[in-house]
Amino acid sequence: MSDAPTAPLEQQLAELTAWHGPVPGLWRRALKTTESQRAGSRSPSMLRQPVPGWLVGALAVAALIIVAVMANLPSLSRARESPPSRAVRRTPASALETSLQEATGDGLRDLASLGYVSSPPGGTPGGGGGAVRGGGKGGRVSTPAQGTATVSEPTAERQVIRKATIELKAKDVQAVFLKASQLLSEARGEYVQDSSLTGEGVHTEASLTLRVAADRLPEVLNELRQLAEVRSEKITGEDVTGQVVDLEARLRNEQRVEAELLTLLETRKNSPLKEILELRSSISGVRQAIEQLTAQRDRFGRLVSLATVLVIIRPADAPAPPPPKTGLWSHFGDTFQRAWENGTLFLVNTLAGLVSVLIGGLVWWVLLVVAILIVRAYRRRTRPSA
Amino acid sequence: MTAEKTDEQLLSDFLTGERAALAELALRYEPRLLGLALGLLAGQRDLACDAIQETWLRVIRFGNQFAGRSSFKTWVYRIAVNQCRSLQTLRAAGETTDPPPAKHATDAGPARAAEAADQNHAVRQAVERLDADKRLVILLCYHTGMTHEQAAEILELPLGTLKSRLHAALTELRAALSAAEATS
Repeated sequence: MSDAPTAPLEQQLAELTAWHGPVPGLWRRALKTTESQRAGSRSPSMLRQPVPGWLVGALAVAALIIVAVMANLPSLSRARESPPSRAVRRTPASALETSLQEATGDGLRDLASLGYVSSPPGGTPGGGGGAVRGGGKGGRVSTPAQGTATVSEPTAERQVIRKATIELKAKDVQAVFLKASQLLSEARGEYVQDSSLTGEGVHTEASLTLRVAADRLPEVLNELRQLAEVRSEKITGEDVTGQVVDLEARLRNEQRVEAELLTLLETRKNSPLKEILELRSSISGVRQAIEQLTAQRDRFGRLVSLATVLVIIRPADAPAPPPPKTGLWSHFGDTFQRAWENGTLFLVNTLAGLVSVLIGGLVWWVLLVVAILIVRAYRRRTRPSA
Repeated sequence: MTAEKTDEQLLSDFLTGERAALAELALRYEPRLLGLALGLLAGQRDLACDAIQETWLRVIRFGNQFAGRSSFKTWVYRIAVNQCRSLQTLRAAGETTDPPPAKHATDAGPARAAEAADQNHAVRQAVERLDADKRLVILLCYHTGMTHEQAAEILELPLGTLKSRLHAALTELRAALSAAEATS
């Protein structure tokens, strides 16, 4: 009996595995997915287009120029020059920065990229959006962002991290500090992440970093507003829905790969040891990726579920912090001042060096003078008389 | 005039960073792989696309592990077949099927078209009723451009075993088709 089917049947069987219609170009999607995954894990990519050397050089020069310019900007210089130990007398801006760095342990940049977001009960600010509300004489005027441009966006599945900063002016800083720390609901997992109370009198300053349930953020802010006069207030948020969705998709994909590899391992028990070891190595790599993705997802979850509130409390009679200097003229003035200070310092250092040589080498100077005198006396004696 | 590059050369070029090489490989294989996946996944186009996208992902990810012990064609087909198997086990049965349009049916008159569509449908149903191994063998062996040797290599079977399975599958398929004709 022949294996070959009749011609129409063969044709029909071939037809069952024929693709009609446009080819969707799935290789491109796969390539994109792989590249985005590799970019996330920062592994060296073999898929990048070869970059010409001159382009690399030009980019390096451009990067150096940017770094040099950024390093000379006055605001950044100040931030860089202020050591962490100055937190005792920190300004609200620096207090916010350091507190936020402490809040996650990964620095302000991570926070900026991840956001400080939460799921607000009604309407969420857009990614990176924010609001600053003035209060009191020194308060900064601002536009409330909540419920404006993004009210119409669906919020049911939104993943938003939120942060709020509120600066209070109180007669009794310590009392307000204690009351603020008691606003939390421990039953809901809220906690004080960081707190400090420093200085005395008009220099007293307290700061608290609270992690509160996202849906309770407005309530907690209201209660804080009632504790003392608000000097300034700022609420920002970042929508990380896209990142979370992408993370979950990658996680599902890796889990599927793991399951497949495990199945493969089960069915290939009699394969050569080398192949089994390679398979195990692949499984190990996939598992590591799964663990990393799971940790990232959990971290997002924590940031989304708990909003961060930074509370800064200052005494009512404390002088308002000077506004930060900005602009080119200020930059020029700062540079000139630094140059003048450096020049003066160089002069003083030179004089100090000379004095140091003069005094420190006194013994040698005396010995030198004595030696010169001896030489001169010897020459006089040995000189033939006229 | 430059000679056309082999699949293996194209894979090697891709691994050194040349995207166009992957595009060329896709041009050669993506439609055929999609067709095979469509057949193996009971005509479900979405699933077939998923399977082939995963196939390319693995080609990209594990391309550097391709040792050249087999041809690129059999390697990529093996990946695709494994993906289809995985999807078949992952997805629950009973989803709506989307049979591919019968290309030749439109060339003739309505009566011929209807007849051809009926025949295609009957063959598809008969193939679907085969068990998974036989279905795989029969679809792979009659897939366009596939030799028995290549099919055996893809399925990691000795050639003799493949032929005996194909024989059994064809016998069963013919019997099923005859039974279907008799009842209609």
